[in-house]
Amino acid sequence: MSADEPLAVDGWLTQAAAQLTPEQHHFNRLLFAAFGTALLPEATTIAFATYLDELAAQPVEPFHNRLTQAIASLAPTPIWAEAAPLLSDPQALQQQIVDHLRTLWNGLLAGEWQRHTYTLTGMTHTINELVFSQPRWQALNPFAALRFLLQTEPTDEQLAQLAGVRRIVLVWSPHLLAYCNRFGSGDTLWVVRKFDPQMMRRDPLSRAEVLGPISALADETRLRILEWLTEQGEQRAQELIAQLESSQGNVSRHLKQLVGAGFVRERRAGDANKRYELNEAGLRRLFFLLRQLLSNQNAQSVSQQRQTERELHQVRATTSPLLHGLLDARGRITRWSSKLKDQQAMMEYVLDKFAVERSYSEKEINELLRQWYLDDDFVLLRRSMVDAGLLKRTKDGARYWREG
Amino acid sequence: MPDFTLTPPPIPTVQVRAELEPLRAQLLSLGP
Repeated sequence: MSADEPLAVDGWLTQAAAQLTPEQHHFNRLLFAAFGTALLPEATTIAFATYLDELAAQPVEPFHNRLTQAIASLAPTPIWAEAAPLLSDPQALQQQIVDHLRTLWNGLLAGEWQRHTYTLTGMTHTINELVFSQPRWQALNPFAALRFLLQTEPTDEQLAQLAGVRRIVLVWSPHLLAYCNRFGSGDTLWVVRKFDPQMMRRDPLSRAEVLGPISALADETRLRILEWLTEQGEQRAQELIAQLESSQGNVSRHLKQLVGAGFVRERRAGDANKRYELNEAGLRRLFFLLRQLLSNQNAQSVSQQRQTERELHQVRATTSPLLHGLLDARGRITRWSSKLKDQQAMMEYVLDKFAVERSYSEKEINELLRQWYLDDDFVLLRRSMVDAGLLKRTKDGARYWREG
Repeated sequence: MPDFTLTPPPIPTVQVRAELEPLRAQLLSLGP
C-alpha cells in the first residue's frame, strides 16, 4: 500500500488483476496508492463481507477525514493530483470505493480465499507451535527476527521500520510474497508473506526429545494429578496432597516433574502457597512432537542430517582441530571465538581463501569474508586480520591484499 | 590485536507470533 512501491505478488494475483477492465485496474491502483492506509480496519478478525458492510455504513464525514489524512501524507505525485479532486464529492467516493471493493471481492477473491483458509489456519498454528515456541524465539533481536520472517536480507527501508518495534506479527498470505508494514501502530510490525517451507525447517526430532515428556506422563499418580487439575481447575499444593492421600514430598516430586515437562503451570499467589494448573499448550506440544517424530518429513531430515555429518567429517579431516567446533558442513566459520588460539586458526583459514598478489576492493573483501564467515560481524574478523598483520590495506581502506 | 574493550549496546528484543489475520491479508491482496 505504498504509492511508489508495488507489492511483490504471487502469479495467481497477477492473473486475477489481468481480468480487471482497464477502468477497474486504474481505479484500484489509484484507490490503494492514494487512500490505502485509510481502508485498513481497526478489527481484523471480522469477515470481509462484514468489513465491506461496515465501510458502506460509515458516516460520510469521518470516512472522508480519514481519506483526506491518507492523501495528505502523499507527495504531490500524479496519483495525488488525480485522487485529490475525488474528495470533493465524499458521498460518491465512498459509494465508488465500496462498490469497487465488493466487485473485486465477490468476483475474484472470495472463492480464492475460501480455498486457502484451512491451510492458512493450520500453518499459523504450526509455526507457533513448532518454531516460535522454541526457547530461542522467546526474546529475539528484531533484526534476526525480520531476516528470518522475510527469508532474505531486509532492505534499508524494511530495517527502518524496526525502530521501536516490540512485537512482530506474521500473517500468512497466499498472494503476497513478502511485505512488512507498521500500519500506524505504536510498537507492532506486521509481516505479511507467502508460506515458504524453508521457514519450518528445523533439525530432525530425536526420540529423546519426545521420550522426556512421555515419561513424565507415564505414571499413575501424575496422570491422576492431571485429571484432577482438568476437573477442578487451579489447585493449591495442600488440596492436591489431600486429594491424593499422599505425602507432601511425594506430591511435590511429581508436580516438579509435570512442571518441568511443561504439562502443569506453577504460580505463587500472595500467600506462600504455590498453585498449580493444567498447561494445555504442553499437551498440544507433545502431540505435535509425536506426529512430527513419526512423519515422513522427519525421516527425510534424519537422512539429510546423516549426509551433513558425513560432509562435516570430510571438512574436519582437512582442517585444524581448533576449528572443528566452528565450521559447518560446507567449511564455513559459523561464529567468532573468544579464544586467541582459535582466532589465529580462524584468520589463517580465511586468509587461505584469498589469492596471493591480488588486491581486493572493500566490497570484494567483504563478500569473500561473508562467504566463509557466517557471523554477522564480519567487520570484526576483517579488523582482526588487519591488526594481526595478515591483511594489508591502503590508508583509506579502499584496497586490501594478503601479505606474502 | 582486536579491541575487546568495546561492548556493543544491548539489542532490544522482540516477541514474534503468527496470527491468522485474513482481513489484513485479504485487503492487501486487493491492493495490487
